[in-house]
Amino acid sequence: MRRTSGAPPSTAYDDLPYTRGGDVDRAAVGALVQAAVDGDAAGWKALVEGLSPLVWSVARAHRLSDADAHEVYSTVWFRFAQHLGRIREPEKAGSWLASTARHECLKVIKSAHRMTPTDDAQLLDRISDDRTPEQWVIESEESSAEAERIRKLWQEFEELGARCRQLLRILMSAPPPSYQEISAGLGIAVGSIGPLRQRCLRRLRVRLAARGVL
Amino acid sequence: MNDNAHDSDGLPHDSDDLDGTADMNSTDGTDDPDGFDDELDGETDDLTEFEGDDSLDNDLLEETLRQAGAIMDPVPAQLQQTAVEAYTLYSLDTQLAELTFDSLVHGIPVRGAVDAPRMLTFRTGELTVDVEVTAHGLMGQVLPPQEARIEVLSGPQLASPPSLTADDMGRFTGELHVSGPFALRLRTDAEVVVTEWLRA
Repeated sequence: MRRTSGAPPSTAYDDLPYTRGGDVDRAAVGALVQAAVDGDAAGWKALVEGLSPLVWSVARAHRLSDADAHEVYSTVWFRFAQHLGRIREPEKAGSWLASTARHECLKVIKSAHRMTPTDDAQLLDRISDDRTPEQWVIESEESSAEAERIRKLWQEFEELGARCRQLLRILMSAPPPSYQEISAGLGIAVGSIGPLRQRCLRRLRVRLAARGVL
Repeated sequence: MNDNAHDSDGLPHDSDDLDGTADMNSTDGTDDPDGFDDELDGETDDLTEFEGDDSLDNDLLEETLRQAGAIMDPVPAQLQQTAVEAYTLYSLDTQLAELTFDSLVHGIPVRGAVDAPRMLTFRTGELTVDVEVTAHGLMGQVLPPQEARIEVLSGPQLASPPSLTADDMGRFTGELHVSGPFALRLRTDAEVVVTEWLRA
């Protein structure tokens, strides 16, 4: 526990999220929702682009297979479109999406006969199989060392305990999610996220250091 | 966990207020209402080598993870396009029937019944739709009883979705295999009602 810091000993978990970089972007979410409600397709598209990684990360944090993650993602967006004119707090659309995604994930997990666990090997192979534009750039610039570093980082992340993996998978979505959104996506208290983030990142760093990846 | 050594870090403190504040509240790890520590215990000894203030390192690592995530597990582009197209599902002209019962959530598991039907109830103010989804198809009833045309939607882009007809008792049945996201669009004499999207 820090004792010499000048910061007041608050309480301030609830303040933390507002200081994160992502919340600058999130401030625009309410306006985009309103634009979409008013018939602006471009506003809707911007919402999808800005909040898709969050929805996807919630599905992935719950270790859904590709097929299940696709279905959860689609269901969440279809339902969001349906509810668009009824969203009471437009600026909290991210939390709405994360929470809806979480509940759909839990249903998938409950209907266990349909669940197929994520194939780790397949995930790890993506860098060779299913290349993103970023990967092509990495490879074309012959910075294969960088690609290797990212692959190792991902591997260490995947091998973290389930709880840390879950938290970090949502935390890493882009733009950075607010703590309210993380809370909605994981069903944990906002106040527990800061300390958990600290511990999980530290834990990952220890693993990376031990493997010489950092 | 023992974080008491944070004061010896030597880093400028004004750069770490964000996480320093969080750390103050993390105390000793006994406050763990969510059970997140379950899997953390085994590794606590490793942490002694990181006794210094590490909030800057953590911020950097988070950003590196963000880059890695965008490369290793991005939102599939085609999938995101589906979400863009979902804007067509936004309609002010249809009534939304909200899901009020889902056997997956509220139901009591039946021992040994792996393929128990999924029971769903949707409601508007005036209308109730009970639906049963099985491997063989779809059946249900509209209440109060009335005739209706029921379209089975599976996405935003279907021009002529498969449909069923509810008889004058409101009953409908069909050998329609439903999987993935779906919604029912009911056309009664009086109105158009769409059920909340969910995953079959």
